[in-house]
Amino acid sequence: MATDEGDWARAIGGDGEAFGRIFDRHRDRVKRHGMRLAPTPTDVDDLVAITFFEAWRNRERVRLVEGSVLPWLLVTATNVGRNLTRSAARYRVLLDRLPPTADQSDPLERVAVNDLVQQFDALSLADRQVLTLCVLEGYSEREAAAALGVAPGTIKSRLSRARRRLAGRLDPIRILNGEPHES
Amino acid sequence: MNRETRDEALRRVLVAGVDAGPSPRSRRTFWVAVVGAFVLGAALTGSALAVAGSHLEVGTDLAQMATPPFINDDVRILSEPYFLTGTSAGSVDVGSPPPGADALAISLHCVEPGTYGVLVDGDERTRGTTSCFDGQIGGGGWYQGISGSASHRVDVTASTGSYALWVAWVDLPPVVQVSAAQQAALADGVVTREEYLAGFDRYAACLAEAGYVVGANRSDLILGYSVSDAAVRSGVEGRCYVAEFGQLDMRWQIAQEG
Repeated sequence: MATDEGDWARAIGGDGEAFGRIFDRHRDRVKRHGMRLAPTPTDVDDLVAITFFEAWRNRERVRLVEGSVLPWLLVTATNVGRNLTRSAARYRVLLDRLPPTADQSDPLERVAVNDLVQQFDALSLADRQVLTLCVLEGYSEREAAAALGVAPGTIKSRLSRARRRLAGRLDPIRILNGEPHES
Repeated sequence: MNRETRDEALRRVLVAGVDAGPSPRSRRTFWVAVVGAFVLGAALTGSALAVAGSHLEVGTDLAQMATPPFINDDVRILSEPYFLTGTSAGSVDVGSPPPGADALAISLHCVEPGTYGVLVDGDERTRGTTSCFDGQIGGGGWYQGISGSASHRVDVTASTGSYALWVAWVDLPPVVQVSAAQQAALADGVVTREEYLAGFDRYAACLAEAGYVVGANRSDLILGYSVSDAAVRSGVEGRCYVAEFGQLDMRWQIAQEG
């Protein structure tokens, strides 16, 4: 996993290009995660942008895990997706100025994603956060604990509970086995 | 013609946003600034908008905008805000300071690309400038100290495009002094890892005294830590940071670069 530590420090020091490299490094992963959280391609685009805007707005609270800011971005995306309308209101002017993205996704894939979005919506924010990191993105419980600022034991219990809640809702084999997800 | 993709445009906005800030601490609110400057004006006054710009844009969007985020809870806002938006030079008469006021809180933002300036009473020493290039939106906020009881005026200059200005009288908290411990650590011009961590510990203890918890991974070369939004908004985090950790943090991070 590429380290963000140097670029993050440079960005904090005012180096915009360093933040641009972090965007380059993690944009696609955040976008893939966004497809689980937002119902339409436009919403996914907004979610990605807001996630990076929020990363910078809250930069003094960002936690790097094993030198990577990605876990924090994924958690932020999950939080943003919880109430995308409210999150987008803060950045409406900026979002409206970004050009639209042509939707190139497979319609059948979108049906599957929408189903996933609905199932994810039924979970609590804590469940979504821990499932995002440990199940969908393949981070260890220790790494998830660092990203979320809680004890590893807390992650273990949250994960167990979240898996039970999700069991039977979507792709139970993968979720129960806890296999890392890769699109 | 090659049109910029959304990803390219977003990247450019992000890079420009980081580049545009004047200092690490005060850049905190860059992106919320455009939509953040006016809500207090709309929320508190509704009709108390002082408008002199040539293209007034007051409407639903502005009514939903948030309080200027650089104004923490320990700053007392003592007047109804004045709001100005336009595409040409404008002026706001903010009157005399109300009792207890020692500064004007000024928030200036680009609504469209351009260069915009603010002067208080036409005094060049008070000039604040915000520039935004194509596709970039931003701005910031600051405090202009005011003494005496005279009446004052805030002027805006504009090149092209439109801007938005928010001004209010405020009572600022006392200036924070750098603690003796931080001064001692800075004295030899070199910040060691031990001094850096000790400064962070004092910062955390300062927050803890006020009831706020700071979480950190002490194994990181540059500490990754988190504090609650409430601690930041309260002003406590800012005071603790300046007193105990700010200069150590900055010098340490710079020393670790490249």
